[in-house]
Amino acid sequence: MKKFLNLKEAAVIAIILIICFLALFIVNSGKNGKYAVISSDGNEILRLELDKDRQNITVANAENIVFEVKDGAIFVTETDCHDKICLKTGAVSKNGQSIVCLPKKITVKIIGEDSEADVTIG
Amino acid sequence: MFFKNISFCSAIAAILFFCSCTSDHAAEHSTAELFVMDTVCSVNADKDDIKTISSVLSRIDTALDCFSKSGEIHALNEKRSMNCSEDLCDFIKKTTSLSAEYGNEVIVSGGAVTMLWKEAQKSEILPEKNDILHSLGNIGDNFISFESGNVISLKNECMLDSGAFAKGYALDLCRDVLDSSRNSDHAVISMTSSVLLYGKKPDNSKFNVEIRNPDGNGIIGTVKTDACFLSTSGGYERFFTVDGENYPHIIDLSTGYPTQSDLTSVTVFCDSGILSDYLSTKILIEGTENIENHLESDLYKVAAFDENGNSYISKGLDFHKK
Amino acid sequence: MKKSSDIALAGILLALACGLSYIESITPLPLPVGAKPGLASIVVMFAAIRLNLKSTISIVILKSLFVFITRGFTAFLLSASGGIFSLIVMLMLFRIFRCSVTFTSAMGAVSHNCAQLIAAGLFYYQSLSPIGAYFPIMIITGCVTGIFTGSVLSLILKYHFE
Repeated sequence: MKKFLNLKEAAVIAIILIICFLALFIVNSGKNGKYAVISSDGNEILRLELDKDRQNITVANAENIVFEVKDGAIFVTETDCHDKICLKTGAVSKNGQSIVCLPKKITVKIIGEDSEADVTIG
Repeated sequence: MFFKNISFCSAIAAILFFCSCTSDHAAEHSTAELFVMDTVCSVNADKDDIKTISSVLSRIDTALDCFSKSGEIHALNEKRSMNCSEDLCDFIKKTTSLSAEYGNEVIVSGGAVTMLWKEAQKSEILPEKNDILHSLGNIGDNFISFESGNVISLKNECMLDSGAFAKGYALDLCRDVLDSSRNSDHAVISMTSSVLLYGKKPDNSKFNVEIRNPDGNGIIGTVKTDACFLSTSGGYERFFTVDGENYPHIIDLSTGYPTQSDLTSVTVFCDSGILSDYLSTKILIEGTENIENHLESDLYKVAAFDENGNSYISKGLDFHKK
Repeated sequence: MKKSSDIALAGILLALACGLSYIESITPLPLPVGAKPGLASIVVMFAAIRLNLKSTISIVILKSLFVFITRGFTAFLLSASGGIFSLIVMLMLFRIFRCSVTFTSAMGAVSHNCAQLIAAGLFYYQSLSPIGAYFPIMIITGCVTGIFTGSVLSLILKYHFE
């Protein structure tokens, strides 16, 4: 108990870190997303195509948070929330990645060409 | 000591890792495919519910079948009067009340006319004009009479055709099964042209519906919706061919001929299976002339398309054109 | 029978934890997704070692209330969920499994971050899927900051109390 860190504990931490890095690696080598879906409180408000660069994107219900789409990725350029976690998240572009702003209940999710349909009719 | 340590931490790491990968908790969820009502039916629900639903669908298939020898409606059409199952009696009562409330364009007693065209499809010979005129006189729910017990009699040469209502009706029963068992927190039951979207998906997202392009080229658009029933009339398999000519499957019972509507596909979303089935056919037959009225309804939502590629979407329906 | 010096110590530690927590919240740091070094955790761990269980739990709860009063509900939710869960984890590791200070601190930080993510996800989105992608990075950050705070505490314990 007086030791700094014994070998077994270091091994545990190493295993945890490896698992997490693997997870990050898997997500980042994922497919480039096609759409960024911006939702407020769980409801989709805006769907943007990532291959069209756009600036100064804002959505209703989320005052003062500004997005930009550039080079197939979307990121937050301005926000007035206290923590600015959404800003720090940086640019996301792969399927499954997301940007989240808790206080404003805004989520941006990247989805691919065919977001799996539950059913096809017609 | 070491193992206690390792297993504890690994357990935490594994749990957290899996939380981050997926949030499905589909414990006993499964998908089964059955062939009922002349179509491939896909049931995605809790395993126990699938069993119950399969037996309900088989039962209804037999009751509402208009063609095979073991079908109850087929038997009734032949015998003209017989003691019928609870299912069939209930079905006929519901369809006749729908036609009475919303219109006779879609009616269970239209069999005399629709059978002519089904024959035409088989024999590749168009029906005679006189036969069509004659059969028009045999359409009417007033020709169906309920006698004592569950005896139903068909007057004149009236015939029953359940086609426009059967799938929606079956899905209503499926919904009842799911409601009473409470096993499935969400389910998707697809009978190709009629679908039941039930409950809430595990990740709380809306159901994603793809509508096929009626001209056969992929998807014309997607709809995000909460739980509901939906039915499509028209669509890309809307024709049958006789002598090289294409005729829509849907028969306009006012003329006795396949519909000449300018709408190519109509999908109706609402909280009743049988109503969605009925309305999709009715709205398609009415064409673009009356579509605006339907788009205003609070009871149901519509996504319709015409032969020029125009779309008619109800306000409040979350539709995205592809 | 608490010694009066213990009560005084608890008070000082509480004030210290609140102070550190506040300083951290206004100091921007180049850490991903708003992660913090968790200096207040050093204090909590110290309390866990030197004081009895009740005092430590009180410090964690009162610190969360302080956060509630000064920084609002979101901060409170994160502080309370993270604080309580990580305290449980740290006590288990330290007392039952007899792990080293550094390791306990690292796991404490990881569990603090994870509990915060789960609480935030469930409370604001009623589901884990929007925040699920943040787990790997928060676990890595937790390990790193935890090792850092654990080392600091370890050094403090070594050179000042032995």
